Amino acid sequence: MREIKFIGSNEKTLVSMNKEYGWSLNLKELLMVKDYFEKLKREPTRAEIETIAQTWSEHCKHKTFSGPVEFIWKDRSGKIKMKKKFDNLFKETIVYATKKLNKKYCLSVFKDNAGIIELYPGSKWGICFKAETHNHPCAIEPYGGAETGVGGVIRDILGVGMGAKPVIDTDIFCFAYPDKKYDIGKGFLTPHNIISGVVSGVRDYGNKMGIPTANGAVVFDDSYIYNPLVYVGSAGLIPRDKINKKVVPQSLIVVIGGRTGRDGIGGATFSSADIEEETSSSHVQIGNAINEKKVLDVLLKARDKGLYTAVTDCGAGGFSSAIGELASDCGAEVWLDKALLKDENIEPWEIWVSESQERMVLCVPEKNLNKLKEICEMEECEFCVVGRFTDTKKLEVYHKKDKIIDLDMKFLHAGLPQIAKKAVYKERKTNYNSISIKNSEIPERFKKIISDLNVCSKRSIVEQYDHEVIGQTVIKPFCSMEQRVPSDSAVIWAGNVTGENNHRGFAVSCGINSRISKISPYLMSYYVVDEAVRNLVCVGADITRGAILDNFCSANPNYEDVMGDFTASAISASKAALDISMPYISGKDSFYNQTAVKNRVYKIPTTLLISAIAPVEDVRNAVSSDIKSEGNPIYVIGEFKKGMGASVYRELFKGDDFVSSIDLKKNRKYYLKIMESMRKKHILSAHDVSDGGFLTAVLEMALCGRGVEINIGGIKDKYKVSDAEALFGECGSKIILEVDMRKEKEFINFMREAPMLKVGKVVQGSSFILTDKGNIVFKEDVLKLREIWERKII
Amino acid sequence: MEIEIITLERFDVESKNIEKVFSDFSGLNSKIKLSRIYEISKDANKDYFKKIAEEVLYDPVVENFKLIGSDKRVFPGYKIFVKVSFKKGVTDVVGESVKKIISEMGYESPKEVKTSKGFYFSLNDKTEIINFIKENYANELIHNIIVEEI
Repeated sequence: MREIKFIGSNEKTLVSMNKEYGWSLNLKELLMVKDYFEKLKREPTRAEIETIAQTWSEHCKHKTFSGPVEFIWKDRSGKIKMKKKFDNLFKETIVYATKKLNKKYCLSVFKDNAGIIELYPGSKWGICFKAETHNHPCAIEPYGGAETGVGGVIRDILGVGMGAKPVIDTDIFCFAYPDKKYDIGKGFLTPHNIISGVVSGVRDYGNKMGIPTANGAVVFDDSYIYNPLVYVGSAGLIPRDKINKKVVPQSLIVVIGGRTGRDGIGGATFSSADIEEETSSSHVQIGNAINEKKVLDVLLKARDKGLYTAVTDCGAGGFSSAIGELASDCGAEVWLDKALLKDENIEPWEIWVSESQERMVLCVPEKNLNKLKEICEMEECEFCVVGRFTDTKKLEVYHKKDKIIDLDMKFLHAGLPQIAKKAVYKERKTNYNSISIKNSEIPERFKKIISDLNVCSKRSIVEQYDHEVIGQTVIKPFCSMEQRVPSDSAVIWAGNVTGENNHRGFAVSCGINSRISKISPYLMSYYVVDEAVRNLVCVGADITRGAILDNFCSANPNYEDVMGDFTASAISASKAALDISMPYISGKDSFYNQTAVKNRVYKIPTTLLISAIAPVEDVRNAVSSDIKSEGNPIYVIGEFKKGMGASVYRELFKGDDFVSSIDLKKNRKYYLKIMESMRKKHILSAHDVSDGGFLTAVLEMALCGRGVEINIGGIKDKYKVSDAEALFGECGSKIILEVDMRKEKEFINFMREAPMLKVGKVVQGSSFILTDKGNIVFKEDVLKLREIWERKII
Repeated sequence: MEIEIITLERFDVESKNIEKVFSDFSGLNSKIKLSRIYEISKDANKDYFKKIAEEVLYDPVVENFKLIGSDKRVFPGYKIFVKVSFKKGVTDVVGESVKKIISEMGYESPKEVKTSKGFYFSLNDKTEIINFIKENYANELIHNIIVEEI
């Protein structure tokens, strides 16, 4: 048994050991560990230090977000606008919003592997939802990283409560441009290589698991060159009486699924460090979807027979994290030599922290073991008993006769020292200039915008995923007869799982925008919360019973400017949720997304993904975004605002960097009106305005081959914006609606308090016509524009 | 023994795609042929490997296969061969599955099955080809890249 010399070691030695072993602990943490073992009057074992490092890692403890922060907000002139001390930033922003909103339909928030909301009032079923990042693994091995990211988030759904049935996966990526030549540092992968690997990994895992991948987004920006962001999400359905788990002392610790090997050792601690030019292959995890499918089948059968009392997934930190967390309130005795191994030469501490995939840990009363064994054998799923839960409040781990870990649970889970991070948020200087654009320039600029990677069709990625498996996907990533029009949200019918004879379901959407973050991380959170919710509104989901997830990604939080941007966006994320009345139910953060190459540090902008979920009362009434019939009027609900900041137009041409603020309280009011109007069947199609602006959004609705005529004169007059702002600006929150012409008067009367403007109509044929006060500015066949929009990404 | 499976010319869209990627990458033209390779560790005669290829691994409608022992690799019209395989210690999921299927089909289980991808090039420009493979089809963190002149 290998001991590590901590007692009597000076700070320099501790720091040097920390680097050598890759624990990613800071000095204060190292001294705390030293102090603990000095009191015990013995040296720690390698396994003990590895356990502490995993448990205290950024990935497992989220110590930056959950830690104290000294925040200073400076305005554009450098004057201090606000000073605030947070004891726990996460609790005082994200959790605060959820507590304050106090929605009764939230069944489980922030305490399990995923958040859970009611499927409908009084339902016996809950919808659970979780999104994860797998950024660091995807940066070094995109295929394996993406596969295991999907596998991990699916296991979160399997491990929530007593286990849920996953019914939809999501994928949201941020990449550098695959078609741009970069001077890539030695040892790093090209954007093309990363994209191909990530997309293939998500495809191969999701498709083999038999779960539809039906919602997502792709963002392209140079900032992600060395640090791609790979968000993966999964939602499932769980019986309401299976939401709570309980670890019972004396029950057996049973592992089902894959074997334990050397793959992925140190993944959790790897998340607490920047990516370096030299990275070890031991960080790489390779997934095996077939194994996870077996785990899924065993778990749901065993759950319904009541064979276990608690379950969790084996993710970052391996057994150390899974068993350590399950046993945190009672204690555990673990026999590592009983674990099924891939490689017999593996060291005991490696078995303990290995992040080999497709493993779940169950708490099984001994009397149920044989029945569980029968199910495992029937499904050809391997299982092993690796220990017993105890009531000693201690973590005791043995390998054969050697006791390699003997730690107090209290120290392990509550001993992490708190270190206040300094955060300074500096408002960026922005300028507003009313950008004008000549009518003659509009056609070419529009075509360039719709072929931009941030705007164009994501079909070449989406078509690789099975988004219809298990036959529950009502609104797919593309809608219309030919599946040519991009959808705002996926809508899933729940009856296949619940067995209920109704048409209840739910919608899943997302919001992400790194361009705004570079100008104002504070405003970015408002915009992405709004976008995610707006996407739900567009398909007719019930946002009064919805919820959101926060997934923050940031660079190294030890830089006060990085921490400042992050803190500002967390504050506004909290305010945005309160304003729009959508509680957070789960989330995750990923720091250290920065890389030093050739003496230059490449940092990502603070990037927040908001994933949103809401019930759909009757999936047969879900609204799609493709235009339906000739003659119907087209309306825009929502204000056009000043500024070209954060628009694709500004990236391609020039424009001011001003971003208008948005009022989510006001938005919510008209979103609710749209919801009601959809129930009254006034609205036949709806689509949100996002990347590319208003004109792009109208075109996307018409891509099914319908002709439309749009007049921008009214927009400019009503909202006092320029042509560029009206056509291509991305400020404000707008939804385009195709209204049933037979119900137009009823619609106008019902929506009269909302910011509303009639902007055009559906016309005969397939012409896309833009007019300004009666003059034709631009006329082109929709099918020709579709050819431009449908370019290949990979 | 290696079982190498190659898609018949008229069905081989993937190799054509790789040719395009190569041309975009290097500005050079080369005929390229992709193959999948199963390296089976088993002390057995050729019939054993032939049966495994025929009954487990290849699709006779669209593919062809050949057995490669210790002989020099030959493929008329091609000059460079690149093999991309997993480094030791990296999980080879397909290899593990094939090993399991072989024994489930009633054959003696091999000691190990390792999978690789093979790329044949008609162009004789080692440097350009290695750069191309490194940037597009391999990750040196988990893959070994072996280049042979044929």
